[in-house]
Amino acid sequence: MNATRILIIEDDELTRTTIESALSKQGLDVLLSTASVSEALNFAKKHRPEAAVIDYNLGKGPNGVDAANGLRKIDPNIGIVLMTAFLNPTQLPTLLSKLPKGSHYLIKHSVTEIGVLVSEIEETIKYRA
Amino acid sequence: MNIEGERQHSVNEESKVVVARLARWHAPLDLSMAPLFMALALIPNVIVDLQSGSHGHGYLIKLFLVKLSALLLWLLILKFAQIAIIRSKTKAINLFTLGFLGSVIGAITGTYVHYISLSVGLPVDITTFLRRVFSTALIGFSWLPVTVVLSSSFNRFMNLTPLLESSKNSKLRQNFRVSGFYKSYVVKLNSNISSRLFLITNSLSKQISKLAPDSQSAQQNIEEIIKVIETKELRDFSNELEGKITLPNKSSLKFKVSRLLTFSSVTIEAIYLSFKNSPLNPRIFTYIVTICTFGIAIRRNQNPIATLEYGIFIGSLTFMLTFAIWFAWKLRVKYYVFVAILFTLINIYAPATITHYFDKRGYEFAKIGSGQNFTLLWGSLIIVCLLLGHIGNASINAERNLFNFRKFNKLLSEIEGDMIKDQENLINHKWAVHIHGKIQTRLSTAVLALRQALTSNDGEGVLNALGSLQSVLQEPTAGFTQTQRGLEDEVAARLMPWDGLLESDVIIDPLLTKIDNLPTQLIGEVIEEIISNSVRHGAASEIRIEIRNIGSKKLLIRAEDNSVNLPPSAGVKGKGGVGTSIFNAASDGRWSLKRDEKRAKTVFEMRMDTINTSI
Repeated sequence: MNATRILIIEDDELTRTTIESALSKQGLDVLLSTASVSEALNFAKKHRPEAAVIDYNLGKGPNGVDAANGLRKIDPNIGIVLMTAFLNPTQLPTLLSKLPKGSHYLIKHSVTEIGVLVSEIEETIKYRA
Repeated sequence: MNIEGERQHSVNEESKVVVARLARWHAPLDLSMAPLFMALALIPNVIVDLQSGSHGHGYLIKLFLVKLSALLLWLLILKFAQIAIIRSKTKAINLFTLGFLGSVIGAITGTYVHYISLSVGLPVDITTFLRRVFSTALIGFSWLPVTVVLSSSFNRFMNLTPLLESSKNSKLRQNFRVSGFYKSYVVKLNSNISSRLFLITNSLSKQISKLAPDSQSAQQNIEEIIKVIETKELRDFSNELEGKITLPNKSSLKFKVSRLLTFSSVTIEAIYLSFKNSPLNPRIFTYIVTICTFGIAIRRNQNPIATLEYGIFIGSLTFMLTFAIWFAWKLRVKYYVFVAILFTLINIYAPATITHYFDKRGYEFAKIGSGQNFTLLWGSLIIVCLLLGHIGNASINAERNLFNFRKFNKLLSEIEGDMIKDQENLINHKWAVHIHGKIQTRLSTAVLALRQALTSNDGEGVLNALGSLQSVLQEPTAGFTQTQRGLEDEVAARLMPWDGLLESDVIIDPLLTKIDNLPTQLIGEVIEEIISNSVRHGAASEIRIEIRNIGSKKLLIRAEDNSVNLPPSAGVKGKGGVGTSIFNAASDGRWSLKRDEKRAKTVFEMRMDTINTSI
């Protein structure tokens, strides 16, 4: 069975490398790990990853929801896992309503074990055509 | 931009035709009050007709219908005349043309009333053709100019509140933004948040240091360390800051009523004080009193000698009273306006009364049953006209002296409150994003890294994770402030991350790049907000942004995109969240978002100062 090909979009370098290394150790194929949404979109056009792990807060420019919607325009079947440290109960419904259908949402501090993230990624690509 | 300039922009297309130099007034061709004034003018006439004998029910209905149809015809012709004037692109109409137009319309409707009255069996005025022409001309020269001027005055009065809000709001915001109080408030707000953040992170740092003085203890106490890292304190602080972001719903009835009351109290005070402190315009006074009363006198009186005497009498009286009112104002007689009202009443009431009791040479006013009631009614109408005319003058005075009014302080404090709220929203949002986006992310990553290291028994990995964690806890504000960039670099930095999501075309006025101390970061934040709105709310795929220097230390940001729809808060400056606060804070409320359905474009425009007042 081939390793799941994934894309990581995270602006914090330390977090990005930590997740990349942890997921690689779990046997996932991290095709690209970047802070730039435009780089991720260009990459996705050529390499068609199966899933993307995206941070919600990417600093200046588009946020994780914008990136997720952009990726879905390129590939309507791509699995999306949105991660955020942000947990404001009043704004959460608005945030979730803007996510593409079938996306999964994770609060960063709930990812105390990398297994949590891996199972979410697998869940998003389960019904991939 | 001065107040006059703003008013010129605010008037509708019709009013752009500027009319007459009536008593030095530059009144817009405003006929909005014409139906009301015409109806008011008809009331005394109808009363006289009714009082001229006893009539049956059928007579009353006929009279009412004839007068009503005459009024409608009057208004219809007036509307056509107005359209014709606007279509002909006439820039200004002098008083003579306006009076002539009024006479023609009066003659047409007068003829209509004459023949329609004959055909339905109503009595008609028995008078000579010459007398009719003369009276029609005189009345014509009174009603249309008076209607135009008074409509304009009345609307000016009614629009004073929104005018004050639009013209003064941005001025007040600009003044307040550069004030020492505002600057120190913003500094204090930032410093309070950063102090609290330091307290939380330093406490966490100390607890971690205590648990992990060396590599061995770190590995042994890793679960304890994770418990410390997973503290809710930082998340709660970030949520608390986000939770503080609230804007008053300016579209709510409660807000509208409250703001209207504040503005109304300012307006009333402004008008009242201006009434007391402005001279009653003698030309308007003389014009209205003389023409309005004399025209009717000619129409109603059959005796030519009496009419002439009446004219001389009323003319002299008006002249004397005008002089007396002017003199009263010069002597600063308190409540001189009320003195003027009293004089006006005397002016109208006295001739009819005097001639009725002492002359009895055919003055219809006094001869008809309760003719004095008619005079009183007519006089009241003239007083209303005079007051409205004076309000026009008083409004100008009020606008000029707005800052001196006592009630104005309440308005000022409300606007300052709005500004502080906008700034608080922005600061709270920025810190909340920094805390959950940077610090909290690092904490979560540290937990993940620590568990990974523990699983693989990687002592060095544990130390690295803790080292990185301590650096962020000891310097929690690192990366919060942004370095100042040039305008082109700033705009490019804001646009670049959106490549692939939005095609952008940017034009930057070269003149702007030569301006020192331009608020580039603020411009960048506005651009960022415009783009994110286009993508998130409008699903736009392309945008064109222009940043132009428009002089007077101001710049214009104009963005046009192919959005599918407007954001829900579009055009409602009180609605929305942080984006609205950014726009308000950057432009002092001088922004708009509109949909151009014909071109299927959404257009955003904002004017902001080129002076950097950021703290």
